[in-house]
Amino acid sequence: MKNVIEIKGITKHYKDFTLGGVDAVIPCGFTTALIGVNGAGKTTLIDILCGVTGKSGGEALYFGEMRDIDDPALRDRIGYCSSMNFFPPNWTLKTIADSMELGFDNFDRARFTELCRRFKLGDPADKKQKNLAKLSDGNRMRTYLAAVLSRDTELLVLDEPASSLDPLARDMLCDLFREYLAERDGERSVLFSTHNISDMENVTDYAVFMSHGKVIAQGFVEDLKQSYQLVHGDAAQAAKAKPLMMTFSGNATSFEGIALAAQADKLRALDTAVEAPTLQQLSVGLLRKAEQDE
Amino acid sequence: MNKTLTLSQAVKLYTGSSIGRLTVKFTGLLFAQTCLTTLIFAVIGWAEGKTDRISDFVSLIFLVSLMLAHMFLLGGHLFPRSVPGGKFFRSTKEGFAGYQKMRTGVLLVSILILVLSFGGMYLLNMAVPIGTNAAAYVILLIVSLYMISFLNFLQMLPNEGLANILRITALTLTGIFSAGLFTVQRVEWWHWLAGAVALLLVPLSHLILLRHYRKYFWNT
Amino acid sequence: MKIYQNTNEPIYKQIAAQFREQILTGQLQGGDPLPSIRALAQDLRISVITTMKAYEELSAEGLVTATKGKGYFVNAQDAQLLAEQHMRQLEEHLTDAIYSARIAGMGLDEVQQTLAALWDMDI
Repeated sequence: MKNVIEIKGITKHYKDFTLGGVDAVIPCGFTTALIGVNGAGKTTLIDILCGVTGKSGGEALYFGEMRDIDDPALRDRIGYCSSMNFFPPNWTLKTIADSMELGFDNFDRARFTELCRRFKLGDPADKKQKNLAKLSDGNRMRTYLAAVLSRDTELLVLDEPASSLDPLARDMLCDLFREYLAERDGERSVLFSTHNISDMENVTDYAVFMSHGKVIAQGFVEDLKQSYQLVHGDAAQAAKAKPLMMTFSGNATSFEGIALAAQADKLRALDTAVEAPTLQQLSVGLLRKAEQDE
Repeated sequence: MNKTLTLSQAVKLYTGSSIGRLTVKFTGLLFAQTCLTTLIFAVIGWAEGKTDRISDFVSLIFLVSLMLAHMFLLGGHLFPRSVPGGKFFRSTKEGFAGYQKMRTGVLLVSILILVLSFGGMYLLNMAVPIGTNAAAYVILLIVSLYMISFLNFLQMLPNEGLANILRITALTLTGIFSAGLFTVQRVEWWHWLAGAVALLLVPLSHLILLRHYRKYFWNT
Repeated sequence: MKIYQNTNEPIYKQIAAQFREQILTGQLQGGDPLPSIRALAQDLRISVITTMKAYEELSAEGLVTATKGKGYFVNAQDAQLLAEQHMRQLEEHLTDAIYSARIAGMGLDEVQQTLAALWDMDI
């Protein structure tokens, strides 16, 4: 299996936060979700990977062959987008199209017009243009997406794209990812960050979990769902079950938590319900454990 | 397609405007404002019969306006990462190279404004008798060039408050001492030398500033 | 393709089961291509890894083969295997029929008569 990015020991020192060392791989041809709470370091990592922020140490290998994120050829292959304030607020569809065309080699104006029409944003060729500042958060995000999707890139890197979108728009975002991947079957990849994976579960292939600037777990979703199990039981079994579990939360009537698959048989013997977790349940479990361990 | 940006394209990428447009806009504003001031002082001067001091005031206002225009021009095109658009610009194909070209383009605009404004003032002087001689203009031009380099160096100060104080001080001093410049009757050899130094200092200060910006501000 | 998103059965198993049935009943012949994993994921609105895992399971069973760069193709099925699959289905259906006959109070002769009559009809 090829990797679109191999991250080795990337670190970044800020006054009151340190990222790293981050070691992770982003597999090629799939959608990877970078999951973590606010402040975990997701945006910093993404910014570093796309050359928006400089790193203090470590390295990343892109497409199995490129190492220098300042190389214009590499930058052209990556479609980066932040979730807020990506473009200046006084820009219009027209200025965005003009600047995107100047900023990259693979911007397709016709495709941008088509996406703007599809997302009901207007026409970049209209005489009267609307400022980005006058749009709702959701429409502004859609504009950013239209811009980045109008480039023929091989890697889409989106920082919290779902945050300002309503559930309907998130569903559409999932479709957009699948469309993006299917268009160049196997040669394109998507990386996006989120603090809430539930609306994006059925498009996520690979997950990287971050907490306090470090990667705490990663893997293909199907494998993760087999390595970790969701456990429910009655309070009566709580005491026996707790030491077998990775995360545990219980009250007077029942308990629940995540356990390693290796413990599943022992837990079943205690008359508990053991099943595969959703990615959301797994995230909560892993991130909660990381918080407790800190 | 393997094109790299020209200076004007870099300016367009960042501002949506071109070198030509920016020049016209700022020169136009500057010139309009100076003409207005000239007219006002001319009327006052003629009314009071003191026509020989009009040029002093006009040139003073012109010089101070020029400084302010340059401060807005040079300081208003910094595009730090925290400002909306900052991340987009840093993700573009050319990255810092594109930024550098934009800043150079803006510097070019500031030089053009300088040249055009002085040209315009000279023509104004010929059209409206306000009593300034050509020598004074040369001196003022040289002072303006030093001012650009000075503003460039000020941008490298880590303490923004201190930088602003120095900017205001420079404006004030220029205002106070410019009066003496207007009495110059002839351009001496050392004026020309100072001018040559000023001319060299502009691109030098620009390059040093950009290197400093790349090291401490661009990607941190 | 019918996929139940909210049951306990993993989606990839459901997909594999449906393709398996299509192959063993001959609806998909040897040499037929399966939809690409990403096109299928797009149509079913699920993740690519899910379709990939379904195909991998079928591949491990020898029902399909992955061709590099071209996708997955159905393997020519053993006629014997197909026959066995159908025989198993016959037994299942007959067991159901016997169960129903007992409830209806039908005897073996009556069942055989019904079978003969249906056999001659054009189904």
